[in-house]
Amino acid sequence: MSTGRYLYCIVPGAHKIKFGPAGIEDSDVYSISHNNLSVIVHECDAKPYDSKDEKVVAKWVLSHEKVIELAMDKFGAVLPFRFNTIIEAEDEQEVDNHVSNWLTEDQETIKEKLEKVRGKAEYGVQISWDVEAISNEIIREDTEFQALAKEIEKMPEGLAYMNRQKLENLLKKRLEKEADIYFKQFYSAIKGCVDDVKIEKVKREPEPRQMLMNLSCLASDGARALAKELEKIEKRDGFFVRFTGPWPPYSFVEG
Amino acid sequence: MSLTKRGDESTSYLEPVRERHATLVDLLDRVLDKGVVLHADIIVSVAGIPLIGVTLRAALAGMETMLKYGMMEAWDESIRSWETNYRKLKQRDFLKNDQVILDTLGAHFYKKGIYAAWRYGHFYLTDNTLFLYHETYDEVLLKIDLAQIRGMVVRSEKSFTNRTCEVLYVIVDNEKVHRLRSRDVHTLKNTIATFVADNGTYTGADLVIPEYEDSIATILADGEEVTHRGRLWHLYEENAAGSIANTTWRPGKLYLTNRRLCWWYQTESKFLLDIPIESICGCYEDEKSWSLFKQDTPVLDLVYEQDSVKRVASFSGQGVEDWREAIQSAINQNGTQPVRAKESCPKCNQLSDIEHLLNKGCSHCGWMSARMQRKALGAPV
Repeated sequence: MSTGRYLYCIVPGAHKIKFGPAGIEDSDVYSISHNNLSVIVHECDAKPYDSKDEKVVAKWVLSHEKVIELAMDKFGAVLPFRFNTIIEAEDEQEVDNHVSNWLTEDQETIKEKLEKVRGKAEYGVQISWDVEAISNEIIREDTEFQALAKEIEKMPEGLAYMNRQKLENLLKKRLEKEADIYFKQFYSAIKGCVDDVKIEKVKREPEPRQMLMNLSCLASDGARALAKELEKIEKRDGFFVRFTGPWPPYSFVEG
Repeated sequence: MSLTKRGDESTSYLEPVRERHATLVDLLDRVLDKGVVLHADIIVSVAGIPLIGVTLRAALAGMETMLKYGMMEAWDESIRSWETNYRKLKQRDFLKNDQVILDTLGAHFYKKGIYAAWRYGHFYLTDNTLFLYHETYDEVLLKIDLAQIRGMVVRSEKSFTNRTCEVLYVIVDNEKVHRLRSRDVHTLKNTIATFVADNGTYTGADLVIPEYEDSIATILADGEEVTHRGRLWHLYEENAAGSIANTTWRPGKLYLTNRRLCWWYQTESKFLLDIPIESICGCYEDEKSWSLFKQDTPVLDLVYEQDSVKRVASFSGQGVEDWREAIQSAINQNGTQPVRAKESCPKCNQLSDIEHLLNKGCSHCGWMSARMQRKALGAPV
């Protein structure tokens, strides 16, 4: 007897669909419908999936993603659940009711969100620059930096060290300013060609690369306009673009 | 590193990547942190990252740093307790079951070969051992058995950058000396003292520290004693073959023994000067410019004879005046009267006694040193 339901995503419309053994650990995936909404689930025990083996977890996560992608292709709009979202109940009969009850309670916001993501997908955009190359360019173009650098060469070692630190701090500030300018410029260009943007935390990259911005974008039509904009950025010297997708709209269903 | 672009690719615009391995991390970012969250009590794994995510992320995304800086405060209890256990596990590993009496940030001075530096970490004091532990590297940097401690003393020291800091010297059985720093070295010392009091450990302020890895000890002859020591910069002339002579100030230690004067070059860990006292003709205080930014620094000029050639060695740093007196008295005690060194006047080129030339001026043409001129004007010297 399974008293839990693992949730993949919500799709619009009432469906009685069976995906077969497409889920996590080859679980049978099917839908529970209520109020013109369906939740894609599989039956499971009422405890989260847990493993210390990263390969196993990666496999689970990929299965989770695959089911949602299937649903997205089929129904054109999905609200994906976070991995390991499981609804439980005291007994087998109750658990499907729990799912239906929840769908009823939240149906308005759910329908609203589904409407928002219909026909659209999420795209990841990560823009990085080559700090070394950009720094060199700043120094090349700035006579003040050059003069200071020359002066340092003549100094005794201890003093030169201190002044080099000073120069580096100055450069850092300049870089921050530049980064800020680029961020605004790229952000407004990207915002203009997608339906919604979420700013994510930037991540560490192997040096000398540094991530300037990490965005999740909601876009329709295969994000053609976005791709053209990114192409322009990628063509600049010292800039790199990472463009991933299409993803289910994970970043646009929260709240 | 090249900035070459990948050239004009065949596609008319950038294609989003969906290659499995390249995007697993991107997927995890989304699947583990985002997506619909149910706010209901019927749910098994509620808000926050489920425990499972932690294990995976730790392997994939350098989770440790995130844990440390508490970037994900919204975790549920189970994750927080996982983290606590994990930390405990890591830290207490070397402590076994001993109770930690004192726990403070600190450093010890580490020297091996040409490498010498303060290594920072976390001091853990148990009732039998003092550990210095580096959390990130999960490494015990230093371990001192309390039963072996023979003496402890706190000394106020000046670094090359002229910052004063208090250093705890811990002397152990085999005369090895540990130099420790901490937020509060006195508390560290006093706490250790309560455990070693019965061992006959000496903690008085007048404790004599066997010279800490003192370079001079290796070259001292029988009956030779260090009478004066200190950290002084030396104007070192680099005379690499084929290049222009280049003088720069180098950090090091100056030692005066009852036989000679030696200067230890810190960076290369070797003695660059070794002058018998009888070869020293005299020493003078003067002012020299250190660089564009540091003019008129008091320096100690030492005139000595080597291979029948008179040479000058310049030193700078704390207590130049004391050094001049110390060296002067060493010369006097040596029995030989200081050789009246002669120097030609920079203006008229006539030979005069150096001291006379510097302190009184040239008796032939009336030249005065810059310092004297200022003195004459009543300016501070």
